[in-house]
Amino acid sequence: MSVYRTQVKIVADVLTSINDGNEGESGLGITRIIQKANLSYARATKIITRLVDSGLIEQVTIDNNQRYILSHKGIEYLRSHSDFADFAESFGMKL
Amino acid sequence: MIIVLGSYFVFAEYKIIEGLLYLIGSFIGYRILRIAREGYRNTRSPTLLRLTISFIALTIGFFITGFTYMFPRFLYLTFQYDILQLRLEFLGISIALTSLFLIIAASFELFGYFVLALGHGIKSYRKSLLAPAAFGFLTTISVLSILKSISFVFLLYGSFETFISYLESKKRPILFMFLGFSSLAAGEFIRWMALFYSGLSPLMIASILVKLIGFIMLYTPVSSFNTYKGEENNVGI
Repeated sequence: MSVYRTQVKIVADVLTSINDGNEGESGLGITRIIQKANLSYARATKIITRLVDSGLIEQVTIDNNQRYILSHKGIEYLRSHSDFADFAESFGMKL
Repeated sequence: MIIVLGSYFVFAEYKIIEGLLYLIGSFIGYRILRIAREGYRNTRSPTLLRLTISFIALTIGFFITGFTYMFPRFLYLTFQYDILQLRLEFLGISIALTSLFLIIAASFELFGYFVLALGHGIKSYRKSLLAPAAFGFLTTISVLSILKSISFVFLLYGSFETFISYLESKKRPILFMFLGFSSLAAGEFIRWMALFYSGLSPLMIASILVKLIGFIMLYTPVSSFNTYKGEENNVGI
Protein backbone atom coordinates (compact mmCIF):
# COMPACT_ATOMS: atom_id res chain seq x y z
CA MET A 1 0.00 0.00 0.00
CA SER A 2 1.42 3.39 -1.00
CA VAL A 3 2.04 5.91 1.76
CA TYR A 4 0.25 9.22 1.32
CA ARG A 5 2.62 12.20 1.25
CA THR A 6 1.36 15.62 2.17
CA GLN A 7 2.53 18.72 0.27
CA VAL A 8 4.62 19.72 3.27
CA LYS A 9 6.29 16.30 3.28
CA ILE A 10 7.02 16.52 -0.48
CA VAL A 11 8.60 19.97 -0.04
CA ALA A 12 10.68 18.61 2.87
CA ASP A 13 11.73 15.61 0.73
CA VAL A 14 12.85 17.93 -2.09
CA LEU A 15 14.81 20.12 0.31
CA THR A 16 16.36 17.09 2.03
CA SER A 17 17.43 15.58 -1.29
CA ILE A 18 19.06 18.88 -2.33
CA ASN A 19 20.74 19.16 1.07
CA ASP A 20 21.98 15.55 1.09
CA GLY A 21 23.00 15.46 -2.56
CA ASN A 22 24.80 18.79 -2.62
CA GLU A 23 28.32 17.41 -3.06
CA GLY A 24 31.12 19.96 -3.09
CA GLU A 25 28.72 22.94 -3.12
CA SER A 26 27.98 22.31 -6.79
CA GLY A 27 24.28 21.88 -6.25
CA LEU A 28 21.90 19.24 -7.52
CA GLY A 29 20.32 18.95 -10.97
CA ILE A 30 16.62 18.39 -11.51
CA THR A 31 17.08 14.78 -12.63
CA ARG A 32 18.75 13.84 -9.35
CA ILE A 33 16.07 15.73 -7.39
CA ILE A 34 13.34 13.81 -9.23
CA GLN A 35 15.04 10.51 -8.43
CA LYS A 36 15.75 11.27 -4.80
CA ALA A 37 12.39 12.86 -3.97
CA ASN A 38 10.45 10.35 -6.08
CA LEU A 39 8.48 12.90 -8.13
CA SER A 40 7.33 13.30 -11.69
CA TYR A 41 9.14 15.88 -13.84
CA ALA A 42 6.07 18.15 -14.08
CA ARG A 43 5.47 18.12 -10.35
CA ALA A 44 9.15 18.56 -9.51
CA THR A 45 9.54 21.64 -11.76
CA LYS A 46 6.39 23.17 -10.26
CA ILE A 47 7.62 22.67 -6.70
CA ILE A 48 11.17 23.80 -7.49
CA THR A 49 9.86 27.02 -9.08
CA ARG A 50 7.85 27.71 -5.90
CA LEU A 51 10.84 26.97 -3.69
CA VAL A 52 13.08 29.29 -5.71
CA ASP A 53 10.41 32.05 -5.59
CA SER A 54 10.08 31.68 -1.83
CA GLY A 55 13.87 31.77 -1.37
CA LEU A 56 14.25 28.30 0.13
CA ILE A 57 16.54 27.15 -2.66
CA GLU A 58 18.80 29.02 -5.07
CA GLN A 59 19.30 28.34 -8.74
CA VAL A 60 22.89 28.36 -10.00
CA THR A 61 24.25 27.72 -13.48
CA ILE A 62 27.35 25.53 -13.71
CA ASP A 63 28.70 24.53 -17.14
CA ASN A 64 25.40 25.54 -18.75
CA ASN A 65 23.52 23.24 -16.35
CA GLN A 66 20.79 24.49 -13.99
CA ARG A 67 21.55 23.32 -10.49
CA TYR A 68 19.90 23.98 -7.15
CA ILE A 69 21.41 24.61 -3.74
CA LEU A 70 19.75 25.06 -0.38
CA SER A 71 19.66 28.65 0.88
CA HIS A 72 20.08 29.65 4.53
CA LYS A 73 16.30 30.03 4.69
CA GLY A 74 15.93 26.51 3.30
CA ILE A 75 18.22 25.08 5.97
CA GLU A 76 16.17 26.87 8.64
CA TYR A 77 12.97 25.50 7.09
CA LEU A 78 14.29 21.95 7.18
CA ARG A 79 15.30 22.35 10.82
CA SER A 80 11.93 23.72 11.86
CA HIS A 81 10.16 21.04 9.78
CA SER A 82 12.01 18.36 11.71
CA ASP A 83 11.13 19.97 15.08
CA PHE A 84 7.46 20.49 14.28
CA ALA A 85 7.11 17.05 12.70
CA ASP A 86 8.01 15.66 16.14
CA PHE A 87 5.49 18.03 17.74
CA ALA A 88 2.67 16.95 15.38
CA GLU A 89 3.67 13.32 15.83
CA SER A 90 3.18 13.61 19.58
CA PHE A 91 -0.52 14.19 18.76
CA GLY A 92 -0.45 11.12 16.52
CA MET A 93 -0.55 13.30 13.40
CA LYS A 94 1.74 13.77 10.43
CA LEU A 95 2.96 17.14 9.22
CA MET B 1 -29.75 21.84 57.57
CA ILE B 2 -26.16 22.24 58.75
CA ILE B 3 -25.14 19.23 56.68
CA VAL B 4 -26.89 20.66 53.60
CA LEU B 5 -25.29 24.09 54.07
CA GLY B 6 -21.94 22.49 54.87
CA SER B 7 -22.05 20.32 51.78
CA TYR B 8 -23.04 23.40 49.71
CA PHE B 9 -19.95 25.30 50.83
CA VAL B 10 -17.71 22.24 50.35
CA PHE B 11 -19.26 21.90 46.91
CA ALA B 12 -18.54 25.60 46.26
CA GLU B 13 -14.91 25.02 47.28
CA TYR B 14 -14.84 22.08 44.90
CA LYS B 15 -16.03 24.41 42.13
CA ILE B 16 -13.14 26.76 42.89
CA ILE B 17 -10.65 23.88 42.71
CA GLU B 18 -12.20 22.71 39.45
CA GLY B 19 -12.12 26.29 38.15
CA LEU B 20 -8.44 26.52 39.02
CA LEU B 21 -7.85 23.23 37.23
CA TYR B 22 -9.52 24.57 34.09
CA LEU B 23 -7.39 27.73 34.27
CA ILE B 24 -4.30 25.48 34.40
CA GLY B 25 -5.78 23.64 31.41
CA SER B 26 -6.19 26.91 29.53
CA PHE B 27 -2.54 27.77 30.26
CA ILE B 28 -1.41 24.39 28.85
CA GLY B 29 -3.72 24.87 25.87
CA TYR B 30 -2.19 28.31 25.30
CA ARG B 31 1.33 26.84 25.38
CA ILE B 32 0.36 24.19 22.82
CA LEU B 33 -1.39 26.69 20.55
CA ARG B 34 1.66 29.00 20.59
CA ILE B 35 3.94 26.16 19.47
CA ALA B 36 1.44 25.00 16.85
CA ARG B 37 1.01 28.58 15.57
CA GLU B 38 4.78 29.04 15.30
CA GLY B 39 4.96 25.71 13.49
CA TYR B 40 2.27 26.77 11.05
CA ARG B 41 3.99 30.11 10.52
CA ASN B 42 7.25 28.33 9.63
CA THR B 43 6.06 25.31 7.70
CA ARG B 44 2.52 26.19 6.46
CA SER B 45 1.43 22.72 7.44
CA PRO B 46 -2.39 22.21 7.46
CA THR B 47 -1.95 19.78 10.38
CA LEU B 48 -0.43 22.53 12.51
CA LEU B 49 -3.15 24.94 11.39
CA ARG B 50 -5.79 22.48 12.61
CA LEU B 51 -3.93 22.02 15.90
CA THR B 52 -3.72 25.82 16.30
CA ILE B 53 -7.44 26.32 15.66
CA SER B 54 -8.31 23.40 17.92
CA PHE B 55 -6.25 24.68 20.84
CA ILE B 56 -7.43 28.28 20.40
CA ALA B 57 -10.97 26.99 20.92
CA LEU B 58 -9.98 24.67 23.79
CA THR B 59 -7.98 27.42 25.53
CA ILE B 60 -10.92 29.85 25.33
CA GLY B 61 -13.33 27.10 26.44
CA PHE B 62 -11.18 26.07 29.41
CA PHE B 63 -10.62 29.71 30.39
CA ILE B 64 -14.33 30.59 30.33
CA THR B 65 -15.15 27.43 32.33
CA GLY B 66 -12.47 28.20 34.92
CA PHE B 67 -13.52 31.85 35.12
CA THR B 68 -17.21 30.89 35.46
CA TYR B 69 -16.49 28.45 38.29
CA MET B 70 -14.30 30.91 40.19
CA PHE B 71 -15.71 34.37 39.51
CA PRO B 72 -19.27 34.06 41.01
CA ARG B 73 -17.67 32.99 44.29
CA PHE B 74 -15.73 36.26 44.49
CA LEU B 75 -18.85 38.24 43.62
CA TYR B 76 -20.75 36.41 46.34
CA LEU B 77 -18.10 37.34 48.90
CA THR B 78 -18.23 40.98 47.75
CA PHE B 79 -21.99 41.20 48.14
CA GLN B 80 -22.36 39.14 51.30
CA TYR B 81 -23.32 42.10 53.52
CA ASP B 82 -26.06 43.40 51.21
CA ILE B 83 -29.75 42.99 51.84
CA LEU B 84 -31.39 39.64 51.15
CA GLN B 85 -33.42 40.93 48.17
CA LEU B 86 -30.30 42.10 46.36
CA ARG B 87 -28.55 38.83 47.08
CA LEU B 88 -31.50 36.84 45.69
CA GLU B 89 -31.58 39.00 42.54
CA PHE B 90 -27.87 38.61 42.22
CA LEU B 91 -28.23 34.85 42.69
CA GLY B 92 -30.76 34.68 39.83
CA ILE B 93 -28.57 36.73 37.48
CA SER B 94 -25.54 34.75 38.57
CA ILE B 95 -27.18 31.39 37.77
CA ALA B 96 -28.37 32.65 34.38
CA LEU B 97 -24.94 34.07 33.51
CA THR B 98 -23.18 30.95 34.78
CA SER B 99 -25.36 28.75 32.55
CA LEU B 100 -24.76 31.02 29.57
CA PHE B 101 -21.00 31.11 30.10
CA LEU B 102 -20.82 27.34 30.58
CA ILE B 103 -22.75 26.78 27.33
CA ILE B 104 -20.41 29.17 25.49
CA ALA B 105 -17.39 27.40 27.02
CA ALA B 106 -18.77 23.97 26.12
CA SER B 107 -19.33 25.18 22.54
CA PHE B 108 -15.71 26.26 22.28
CA GLU B 109 -14.53 22.96 23.75
CA LEU B 110 -16.78 21.03 21.36
CA PHE B 111 -15.37 22.94 18.39
CA GLY B 112 -11.81 22.39 19.63
CA TYR B 113 -12.26 18.64 20.09
CA PHE B 114 -14.05 18.44 16.75
CA VAL B 115 -11.13 20.05 14.87
CA LEU B 116 -8.70 17.80 16.76
CA ALA B 117 -10.72 14.69 15.84
CA LEU B 118 -11.03 16.00 12.28
CA GLY B 119 -7.23 15.95 11.96
CA HIS B 120 -7.24 12.28 12.90
CA GLY B 121 -10.34 11.66 10.76
CA ILE B 122 -8.67 13.01 7.62
CA LYS B 123 -5.63 10.85 8.33
CA SER B 124 -7.74 7.71 8.80
CA TYR B 125 -9.87 8.45 5.76
CA ARG B 126 -6.82 8.64 3.55
CA LYS B 127 -5.31 5.53 5.05
CA SER B 128 -8.17 3.14 5.30
CA LEU B 129 -11.25 4.89 3.93
CA LEU B 130 -12.86 4.62 7.35
CA ALA B 131 -15.23 7.44 8.19
CA PRO B 132 -14.85 9.14 11.59
CA ALA B 133 -16.75 7.53 14.44
CA ALA B 134 -20.45 8.25 14.52
CA PHE B 135 -21.83 9.95 17.57
CA GLY B 136 -25.28 8.58 18.15
CA PHE B 137 -25.65 7.93 21.82
CA LEU B 138 -26.91 11.24 23.10
CA THR B 139 -29.33 10.58 25.87
CA THR B 140 -29.29 13.87 27.70
CA ILE B 141 -31.57 16.73 26.88
CA SER B 142 -30.01 19.97 28.10
CA VAL B 143 -27.91 22.03 25.70
CA LEU B 144 -24.90 21.85 27.99
CA SER B 145 -25.18 18.09 28.33
CA ILE B 146 -25.54 17.63 24.58
CA LEU B 147 -22.47 19.79 23.91
CA LYS B 148 -20.49 17.97 26.60
CA SER B 149 -21.62 14.58 25.26
CA ILE B 150 -20.47 15.36 21.73
CA SER B 151 -17.19 16.79 23.09
CA PHE B 152 -16.72 13.58 25.04
CA VAL B 153 -17.18 11.46 21.89
CA PHE B 154 -14.67 13.58 19.95
CA LEU B 155 -12.25 13.38 22.87
CA LEU B 156 -12.60 9.58 22.98
CA TYR B 157 -12.12 9.38 19.22
CA GLY B 158 -8.99 11.57 19.41
CA SER B 159 -7.61 9.41 22.25
CA PHE B 160 -8.29 6.23 20.30
CA GLU B 161 -6.56 7.54 17.15
CA THR B 162 -3.61 8.76 19.22
CA PHE B 163 -3.35 5.29 20.74
CA ILE B 164 -3.37 3.73 17.25
CA SER B 165 -0.53 6.10 16.29
CA TYR B 166 1.35 5.04 19.41
CA LEU B 167 0.99 1.37 18.48
CA GLU B 168 2.42 2.15 15.04
CA SER B 169 5.42 4.19 16.18
CA LYS B 170 5.91 3.25 19.87
CA LYS B 171 7.09 6.78 20.66
CA ARG B 172 6.78 7.97 24.23
CA PRO B 173 5.39 11.51 23.57
CA ILE B 174 2.44 9.97 21.71
CA LEU B 175 1.78 7.71 24.70
CA PHE B 176 1.71 10.79 26.98
CA MET B 177 -0.76 12.53 24.66
CA PHE B 178 -2.96 9.43 24.60
CA LEU B 179 -2.88 9.17 28.41
CA GLY B 180 -3.60 12.92 28.67
CA PHE B 181 -6.64 12.89 26.38
CA SER B 182 -8.01 9.65 27.78
CA SER B 183 -7.58 10.92 31.37
CA LEU B 184 -9.54 14.07 30.46
CA ALA B 185 -12.27 11.89 28.96
CA ALA B 186 -12.26 9.61 32.02
CA GLY B 187 -12.37 12.67 34.32
CA GLU B 188 -15.40 14.01 32.47
CA PHE B 189 -17.11 10.62 32.63
CA ILE B 190 -16.48 10.31 36.38
CA ARG B 191 -17.86 13.82 36.82
CA TRP B 192 -21.11 12.78 35.13
CA MET B 193 -21.40 9.85 37.50
CA ALA B 194 -20.73 12.22 40.43
CA LEU B 195 -23.83 14.24 39.47
CA PHE B 196 -25.96 11.44 40.93
CA TYR B 197 -24.64 12.34 44.37
CA SER B 198 -25.40 15.57 46.21
CA GLY B 199 -22.57 17.63 47.64
CA LEU B 200 -18.95 16.60 47.46
CA SER B 201 -18.57 12.94 46.66
CA PRO B 202 -15.37 10.87 46.34
CA LEU B 203 -16.22 10.67 42.64
CA MET B 204 -15.86 14.45 42.29
CA ILE B 205 -12.45 14.36 43.96
CA ALA B 206 -11.50 11.44 41.69
CA SER B 207 -12.72 13.46 38.69
CA ILE B 208 -10.48 16.40 39.66
CA LEU B 209 -7.46 14.16 40.25
CA VAL B 210 -7.92 12.29 36.96
CA LYS B 211 -8.30 15.57 35.04
CA LEU B 212 -5.22 16.99 36.77
CA ILE B 213 -3.25 13.89 35.73
CA GLY B 214 -4.63 14.39 32.21
CA PHE B 215 -3.40 18.00 32.01
CA ILE B 216 0.04 17.00 33.39
CA MET B 217 0.28 14.21 30.80
CA LEU B 218 -0.65 16.64 28.01
CA TYR B 219 1.93 19.14 29.18
CA THR B 220 4.78 16.61 29.53
CA PRO B 221 5.65 16.16 25.82
CA VAL B 222 4.88 19.82 25.05
CA SER B 223 7.20 21.13 27.77
CA SER B 224 10.23 19.89 25.81
CA PHE B 225 9.33 22.09 22.83
CA ASN B 226 10.44 25.68 22.80
CA THR B 227 8.48 28.24 20.86
CA TYR B 228 10.80 28.44 17.92
CA LYS B 229 10.97 31.87 16.35
CA GLY B 230 12.00 31.20 12.79
CA GLU B 231 11.34 33.11 9.62
CA GLU B 232 7.84 33.13 8.23
CA ASN B 233 7.75 31.01 5.09
CA ASN B 234 5.33 30.90 2.25
CA VAL B 235 6.11 27.98 0.00
CA GLY B 236 2.80 28.24 -1.79
CA ILE B 237 1.26 25.10 -0.34
